[in-house]
Amino acid sequence: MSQHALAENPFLVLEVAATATRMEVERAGQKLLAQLALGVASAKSYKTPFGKHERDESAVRTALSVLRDPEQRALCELWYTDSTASGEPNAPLPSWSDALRSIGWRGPCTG
Amino acid sequence: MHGLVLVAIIVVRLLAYWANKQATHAGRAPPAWAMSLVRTRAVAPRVIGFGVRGVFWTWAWVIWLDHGANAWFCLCVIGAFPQLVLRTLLIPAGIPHAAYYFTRVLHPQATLGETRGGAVFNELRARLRWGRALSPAALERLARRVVTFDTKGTDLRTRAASLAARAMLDALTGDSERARELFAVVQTMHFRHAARSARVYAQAWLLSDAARRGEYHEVIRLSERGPYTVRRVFMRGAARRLLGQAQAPGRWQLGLLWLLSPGRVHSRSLLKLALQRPARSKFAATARDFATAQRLTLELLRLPRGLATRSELAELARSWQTVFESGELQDRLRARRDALQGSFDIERVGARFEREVAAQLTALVPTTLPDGEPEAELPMLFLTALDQFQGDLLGELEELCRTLPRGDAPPTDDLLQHWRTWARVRTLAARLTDTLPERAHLIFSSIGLSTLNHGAWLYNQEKARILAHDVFRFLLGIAPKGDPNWQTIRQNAKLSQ
Repeated sequence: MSQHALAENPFLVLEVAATATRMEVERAGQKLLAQLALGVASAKSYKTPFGKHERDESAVRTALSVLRDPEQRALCELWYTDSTASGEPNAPLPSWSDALRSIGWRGPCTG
Repeated sequence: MHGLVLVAIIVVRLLAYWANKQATHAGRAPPAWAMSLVRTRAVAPRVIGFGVRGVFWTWAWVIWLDHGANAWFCLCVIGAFPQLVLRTLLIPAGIPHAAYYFTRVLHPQATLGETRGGAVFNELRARLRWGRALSPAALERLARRVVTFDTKGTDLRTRAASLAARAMLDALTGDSERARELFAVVQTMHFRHAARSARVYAQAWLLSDAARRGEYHEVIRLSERGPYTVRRVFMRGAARRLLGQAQAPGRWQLGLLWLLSPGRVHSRSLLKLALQRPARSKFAATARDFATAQRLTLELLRLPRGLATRSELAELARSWQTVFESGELQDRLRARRDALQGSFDIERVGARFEREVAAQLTALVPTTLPDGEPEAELPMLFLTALDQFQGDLLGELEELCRTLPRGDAPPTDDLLQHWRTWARVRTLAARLTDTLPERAHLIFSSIGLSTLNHGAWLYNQEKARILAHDVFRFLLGIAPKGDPNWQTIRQNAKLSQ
């Protein structure tokens, strides 16, 4: 379970609360699928405690199938945290852009 | 008088050159006096080096006053102090090919044993100074025969400068991971096989690379090893401030370190970043319940890499441990099962969740620095996470060491591959030592014997003496003194020096 996996919590993908009924979950999923099919911009990303994440049809379908199984849903509920309550994600530590120049390195260096 | 001093310097350089030739000549024992010239204690060459430079500058000053300098004299000075000319003139000038041919012709003392490797190392440093002649074709030409066996089949001409050159080429061609591994080996190589300039450069590159990526916890780890330099102390101080550590130096202290460290123009931005960074408040569990544990997990995960501390992780593990032991999790799951009208096994889901929490902790462990808290005081859940991390690393190490040739395996004639594999082993071992120093002894019990046999194979079959020495030296550092193989490792390390 990584930060990425937590950000892909089905409740976050579908933007429903952990207490949502099965009907509410299905409705939210179908609505998102329709919006994605129409290319609605707001449906293409969702908010997580770690920042915005991309959303596509397969992510929505996976989230729906996970939440249909009570056992998997119970597990997802344990990891779910409301992204609106957690506020903006922390900014990363500032990287030192002149680092390699300080040792006389003006060539490419990636990775 | 000046002429006599000049002749004396040239004679000493010629003798040192000849002595090095003798010492790196395979199959014949070099004379003892020749060995004493090139194999001295670390302090001795440094003191002599400073002394010689002091005399040189005094002498140059006297000559300048006398107005007696001429072209012949300048050439003689260049011949007597090639490393100085390289460092102060040719590398900063960055003229392609100049540093390469200068090194090949004049054989600076620092990279004397490595004719081509040393030349490529200096040439790359010169080209990188202004970013000239770094096309793939130009780099490919330089990369030829940098890390190879010599004509006598030994590796005596492949030392730190050659490996640093290879690492630079890797970094320039986009393979930063392998460059990091090779540089990490170079910076810790024995001084008899490694020019200080190469070790210092390797260390500076590693530190700068980690800071470039914003991995300041890595900067602190790297600054604990390698040659002792002001740059290393300054960068460790800056990293500590950026991570908000209690041991971070004060503003004036850091400013002074910056003044003393090299590359001040470019490192001023790091100083600014470190001074501007506000101190961060530590997270604490206000209660030992599910909601608190969940909130703390999220807060730690949301922190930038390296900012979470080991004690915060332990605190988080304690919170989860209490939740699991109190039965709160089972109650929660039971309530949800009833609400969802499911029929799942609560114990199974609970156990799965516990494994996921442990995995979360395992992922966070390498981003934290050890704080010396004894393992006996850590909660079981955290120990499970540490065991998982250790198991994963040792598993990878053992797998890698199983493939190392040993015994009667035939020579492969691929020195670069041997060094790369060895660099990988060193990197994995360092990862475990840095993250869990109290478990470093497990490395020897895990891979000690296979590595010892590999070292012996390198020495006997492959005639890779320098690499074998690095293997034995590494083993000497991790082997417990009571181990039956300790004496053998010690003797092998001495033999391969």
